[in-house]
Amino acid sequence: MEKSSKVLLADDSAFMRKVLKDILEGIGFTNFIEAENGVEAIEKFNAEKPSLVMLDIIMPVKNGIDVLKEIGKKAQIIVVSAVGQDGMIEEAKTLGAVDYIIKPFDRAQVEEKIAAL
Amino acid sequence: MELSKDILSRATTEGSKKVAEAMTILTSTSVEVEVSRVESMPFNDALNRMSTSGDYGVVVFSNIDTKNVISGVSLLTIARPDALMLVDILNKQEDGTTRILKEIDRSAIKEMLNILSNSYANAIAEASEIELKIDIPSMITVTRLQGIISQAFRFNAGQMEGLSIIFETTLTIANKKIRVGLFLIFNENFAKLCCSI
Repeated sequence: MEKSSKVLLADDSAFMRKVLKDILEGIGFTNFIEAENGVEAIEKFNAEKPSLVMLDIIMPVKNGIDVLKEIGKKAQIIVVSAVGQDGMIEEAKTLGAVDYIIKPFDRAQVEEKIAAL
Repeated sequence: MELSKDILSRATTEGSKKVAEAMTILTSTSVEVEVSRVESMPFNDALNRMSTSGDYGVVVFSNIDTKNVISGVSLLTIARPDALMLVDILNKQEDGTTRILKEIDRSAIKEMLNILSNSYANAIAEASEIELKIDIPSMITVTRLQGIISQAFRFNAGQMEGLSIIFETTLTIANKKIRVGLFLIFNENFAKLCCSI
């Protein structure tokens, strides 16, 4: 994936968005947009057309699964969630997520997933 | 009440282990499990247990939902000075940098509850085949604890009736002496479901 690609960070936790942004900046990405709930994620996705989405599952207003139902096949979406139960991981992948990172993660895990895209 | 001891025991052992592993990754430092237990007790006693388990000023709370009839809550408790030190660790800052909890710091602590309680819930799900969904966390004051629990378990007029199942884990970050309590509390339906498995 081109490092100039636009990345959408969708997570209700400002702290987690900062952590992900720091890691992706370390890899070379520079172009970020952020959303703190599912509705905002869909709106920003449609307006900005990012190539990569890092998507949380448990978010207010609209959760990550509902976001996947709308945009799941339209971009490279990596789910980043603390929910590690098999049913949720399967559902996310069925709806179009290309990968799933369970929180907490270390820098190497994220780098590896991005490199595999 | 006859609980499925094997299931609860596995969930407790694995839950505490996963929580300690998660905390180790989050803080990049050595974390020890000081307390790891599960008990059945009246709700009032559970509340007293939390109130006397530490001198904490920061409480983070989440509801726990399932597809079944279980009600549950997850709580993270930490003393305010420990919370300030923890924020420095999470942000990879020098000790003493954080003097008040700003919005981004509160976000870090709430996210920690989210991650730790999901780590525990994942272990419960593996042991019991009961899927649990941890809701969005909120930071509350300790004085609201009883009201929040009454609301979560739908007690009338603050009458806390019935038995609770309480999973308790206390973690310490040894080199900083930071102590964090994690409580997952369920109503009797959880025990009934465990017994029926």
